[in-house]
Amino acid sequence: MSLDQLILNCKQNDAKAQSELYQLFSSKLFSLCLKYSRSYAEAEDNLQDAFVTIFNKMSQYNNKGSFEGWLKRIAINTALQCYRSQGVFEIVNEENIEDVTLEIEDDELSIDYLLQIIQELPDRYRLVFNLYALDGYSHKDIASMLSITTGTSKSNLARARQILKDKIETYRASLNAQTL
Amino acid sequence: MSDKKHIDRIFQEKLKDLEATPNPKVWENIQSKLEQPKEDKEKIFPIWLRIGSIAALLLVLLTIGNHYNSNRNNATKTNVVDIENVVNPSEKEKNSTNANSTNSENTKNAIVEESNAASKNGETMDAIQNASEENKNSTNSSIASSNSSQNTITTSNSNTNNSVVNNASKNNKTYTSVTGNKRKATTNKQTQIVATNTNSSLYTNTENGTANAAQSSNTNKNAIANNSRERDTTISNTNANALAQNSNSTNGNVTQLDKNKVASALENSATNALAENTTNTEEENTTTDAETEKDETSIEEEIAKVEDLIEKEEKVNRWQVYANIAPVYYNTLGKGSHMDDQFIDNSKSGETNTSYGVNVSYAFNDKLKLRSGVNSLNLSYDTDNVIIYQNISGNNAPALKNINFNNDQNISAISANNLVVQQAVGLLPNENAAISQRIGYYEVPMELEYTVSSKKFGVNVIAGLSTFILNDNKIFSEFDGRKTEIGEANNINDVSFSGNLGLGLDYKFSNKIKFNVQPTFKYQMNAFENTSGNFKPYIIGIYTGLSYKF
Repeated sequence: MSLDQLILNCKQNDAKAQSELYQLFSSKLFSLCLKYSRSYAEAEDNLQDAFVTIFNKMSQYNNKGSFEGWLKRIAINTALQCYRSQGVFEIVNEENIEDVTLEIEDDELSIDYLLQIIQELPDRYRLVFNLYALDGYSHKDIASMLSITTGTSKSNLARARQILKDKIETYRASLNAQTL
Repeated sequence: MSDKKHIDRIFQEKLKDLEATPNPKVWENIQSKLEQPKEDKEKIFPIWLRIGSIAALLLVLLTIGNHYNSNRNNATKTNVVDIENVVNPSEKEKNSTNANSTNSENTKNAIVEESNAASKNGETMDAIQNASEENKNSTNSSIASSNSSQNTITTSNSNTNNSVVNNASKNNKTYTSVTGNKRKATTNKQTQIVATNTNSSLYTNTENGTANAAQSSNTNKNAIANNSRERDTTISNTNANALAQNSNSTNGNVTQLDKNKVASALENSATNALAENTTNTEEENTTTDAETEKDETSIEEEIAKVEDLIEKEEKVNRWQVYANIAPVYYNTLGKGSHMDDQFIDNSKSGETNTSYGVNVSYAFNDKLKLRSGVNSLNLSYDTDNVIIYQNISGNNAPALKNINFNNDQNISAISANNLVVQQAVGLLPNENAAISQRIGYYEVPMELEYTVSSKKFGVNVIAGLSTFILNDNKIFSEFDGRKTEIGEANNINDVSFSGNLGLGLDYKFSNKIKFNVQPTFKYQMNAFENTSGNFKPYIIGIYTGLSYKF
């Protein structure tokens, strides 16, 4: 069954098509949810809510733009939703905005570890870092999605990078200490 | 081997490969949720209930206002009607045209007209149509516009605001593309979501429609009302208003239904405020245009966001409580007396008293708040140079026109200005007494507050009216600093009104707590009956207090 046909059937609330669609996209969307959430359990909740929204709003997808993109946007919005209520994002001192670079050796860092430190980021930093660095949203988009200013978005991003960098460096130091 | 990489790249490259399979339980949960499509309907019901109850409340308020109004028989009648009915422009038109007699009928008519208009509107959103049925007697003329009338009206608007026209035409484009989606939407809730979709132009469209509908009804009635200038300003205000909401909605600040309702309704009384709004709107509209174009490709995205937005919006709290105390100064503009003809020329002095109370305000948007509350107000007003005397002989004491003296004392009063001869002869002591009048009111203000500046120090303009309910009415004679109660005035209306105008200054201690100083001028319209001379009382209060935002 082609994707278009599958979408069509999903629009008619065909349970089999829905199941198939879930099989097709669940792992992709779940990894997205993992990045945006604090924990595995929370990511599962988000994934569940996202799919419920997706199936309920299937009729609103009108084949404009990529279907996967549409799914991702819904998943991201679902993830953001639970943080929106938490109010104003903290304004960080904007002097610190600079590009953070760091040395890396191949395969030195596992995916699991990177995911873990992303999840450990404070909520606002995690969201901004994900949106900007991983999913390619502009600061302007982020500002409107999170109801913050672009300045706040930028400084949150800078803080997120700094925290990640520090964590990786500490982690590497501890690895080196073990090998020595 | 090592090389320097930007931290973002590291994460991008690594996490690109991240694939994780969720627990199968997740799918079971999803399935179980999908099998209950009823859930959505249940969610909607409270929304209708809420809207319905708001509508009912407004209707009750209007009815009380009209009823009260038709019982009054003096010149303030029209004023009162206007202000009470500010809630609904179209009804306001009605009322002022038909001079209050059959107000309830009028309301009915207005309702019929609105529902007709709504039913003509076959192509517009189901959900909103429903909303209009729920709301028809409240404020909403909102939904009543077919595309065609909308377009023509928009062009007639062009002198006010060109960018509006652009906006509208662009929106129409997008509108059609969304309609399909919307119709297919399975539940009312979703339909509504589409309508509320704040960035997408569909919403903008509706809003324009609102303004235009309101305008068309206004113009029709203008012909009858012979009042065209005033009404025209109202119209452009309504329009500007709706547009201002457009811009707000772009920021996702306000719930659509509330806004529609309240907006077309209340805001057009604050004319100054809206003039400024219009300029804002023009700026905002240009951005909206840009966004609209951009959004044409990503309507689905917007739809996805909408539910989030709605939930978020519901959490924005617009209520604020404000406790205040004020030194109040009471005096009259013209020369006159409310007690008796003979006191017209006596010198009089208002005393400084206090008013205190609690207000609650509701913010329609960033700029405009409606507030109401209860204040206790004590006024005191001295008429100097009056001789109070006890009439030993009994019955023939000349009465003062507007004062009932206590029965047990045969007291009468006379203006010393009329007794120059006797005074010269020395029949009377040098110091004359004064008559001091005490009036206590419960004041219920209904005011609009427009925010001019909302920085750390904020500036607001306040306009509205107050209803005064008399709770204390005493006349004292004041002699040598001693006060003796001698009776009460018989010409103070139990309920009276005032027009209020004030300037509010505030200092924000935090997002929640503000310190306010609001010098306010209140012009009393029908405080007394049978006043002598040109007695026009007014009140100046420096309302000072703390407000707390929830």
